[in-house]
Formats: sequence, C-alpha cells, structure tokens
Amino acid sequence: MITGRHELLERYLADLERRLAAADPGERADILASVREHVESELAMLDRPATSADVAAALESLGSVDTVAAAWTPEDGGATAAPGRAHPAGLAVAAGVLAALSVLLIWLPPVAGSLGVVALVLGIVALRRRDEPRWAALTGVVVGATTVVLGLVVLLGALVVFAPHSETGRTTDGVSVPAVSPAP
Amino acid sequence: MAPEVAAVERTELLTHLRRGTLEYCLLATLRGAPAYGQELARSLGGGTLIDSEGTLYPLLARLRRRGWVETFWRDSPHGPPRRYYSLTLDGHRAVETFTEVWGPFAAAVTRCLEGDPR
Repeated sequence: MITGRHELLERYLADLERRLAAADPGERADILASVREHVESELAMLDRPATSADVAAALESLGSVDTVAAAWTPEDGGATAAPGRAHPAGLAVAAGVLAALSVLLIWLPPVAGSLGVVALVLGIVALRRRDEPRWAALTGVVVGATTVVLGLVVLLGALVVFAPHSETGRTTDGVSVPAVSPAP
Repeated sequence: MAPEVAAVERTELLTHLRRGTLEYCLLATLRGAPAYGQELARSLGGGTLIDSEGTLYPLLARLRRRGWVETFWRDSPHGPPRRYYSLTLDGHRAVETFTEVWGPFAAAVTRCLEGDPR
C-alpha cells in the first residue's frame, strides 16, 4: 500500500470534518464514514494497488470538500440557511462593538458590566461558529470579561464606600414618585 | 451579461431547485431495491440532479437521521463490504406524499412558463 494514498484521503476527510463543524456529531461521523467507504470501495474495484493518482481521481469524482459540505444543510432546511449565514457574521462584530462600548462606559460600572456580559456571551457563541471573524469574537470575549470583572470591582468598591448614603437616595426617590403622580 | 455570470446564475438556480427535491429523488431511487452509495450516485448522476458523487452523502446521512432510510452491510465481490441504503416505511410514505404534491406543482410551473397560469 502506498502511504500517499492515505494522506490524500485523510486530508480530504479532515477538511470535510472541519467544514461540517456545525453538523450534529452523529450526522457528521456518518457523512465522513460513508465518504471514506465510497473512496475505499472505488479503489478496491481497481483490482490492483491504488496509486495516489487513483485516489486523486476518486476524490475528484466525489467533488471538492466545499461542494460536498455545501450539500449539508441545517436541520430546519434550506429556507433558514441563508439568513442564518448572514446573522452569525454579525455576531462576532456585535461582540466586539459591545466590548468597545463597555470600555467607553467603564465609568458607569453597572452599564459597562452588563455590556461586558453580553459581549462575552456573544463572543463565545461567535467563537464556536466557524464562519465568524475570530479577531472580533476574541475581542468581545477578552474585553467583555475584563469589563465585567472591572465593573464588579468598581461596583463592590462603590457599595462599600457609599453604603451609608444609599438610604437617603431611596427617600429622595420615594418623594419624587408622589410628586409626579397627583392626578385629578 | 457575460456568459460566465449566466453560468453562475444557472449553478445557483440548480442548487436552489435541488434543495428539497433531490432527497426525494434519492428515496424514489431506493423504492425498488436497496442500493449502495456508488450505485445511487450512478443512477442520479449526469450533472442535473447532482454535480458530484460526494454531495449524496450529507443527504443520505440526513435521510437516515430522519428515519426515512436505514443502512445495512452486504459483502462486495470487490474489496470491503458495502453499506446499503434501504427505504423504511416512513421513507415510502414520504415519497408517496412528495409524488402527490409534485405532480400538480410541476404541472402548474410548466403552465406558468408556457404563459397560461391556472
């Protein structure tokens, strides 16, 4: 057996596996196994040791990794595939933008912290999808996590320093409510 | 418009049309007898329904997951045993339903294209 033959096929299968990252693991394994069987039985029909040119020809008739992967659609069918693709592309960017906003608003710890949480979550989701810009997703995750921690620290600090005054804050709020509400 | 643009449009159109129909062609091919991957590829090949053999496998995996086809192994005169695909009862029902819907649908599309919708 020629080792080059395996290399070509293995590389093809590894590429295909990467392209099918979004597929259900069982379905992905099923696709990969049947593609492998297809090539192996094609080569077995030659009745002579297969050369790497034979493997290349078998892979050629299978179609490119992109073509095969494109035949896979998410479970709910082709109808949602197009918007589904447009939406996740914005996910990483949204994470990055929210992370940047949270840095700008760091002097408002509760706001910055909440933005950081959202940026963190969006960034993680985006990172797990293959078609997302990685740098933006990573920015979302790293900066989001930082502002969450910073926000919490500042918030805790503020609670410790201003705790005695919070009572007066509540009474002024309480006063403002009846001032607005008088009605005929 | 440049001919290569028209070719891209044709390819995209084919991709759209295959989505949602090709899987039933696969099922229909299996109605008579179980078949293995290369057999299916050969009977559907020709460039209109599939453009390369490998595109069948994601579809077959999906049909299997849906419970419309099941697989079993059978020895081959050449090389390793082959994975055969056969229709389940649900698979048979799915082709029947598709056939009922497809007939009037295809006829209506043809009428439209010929300028006589209704």
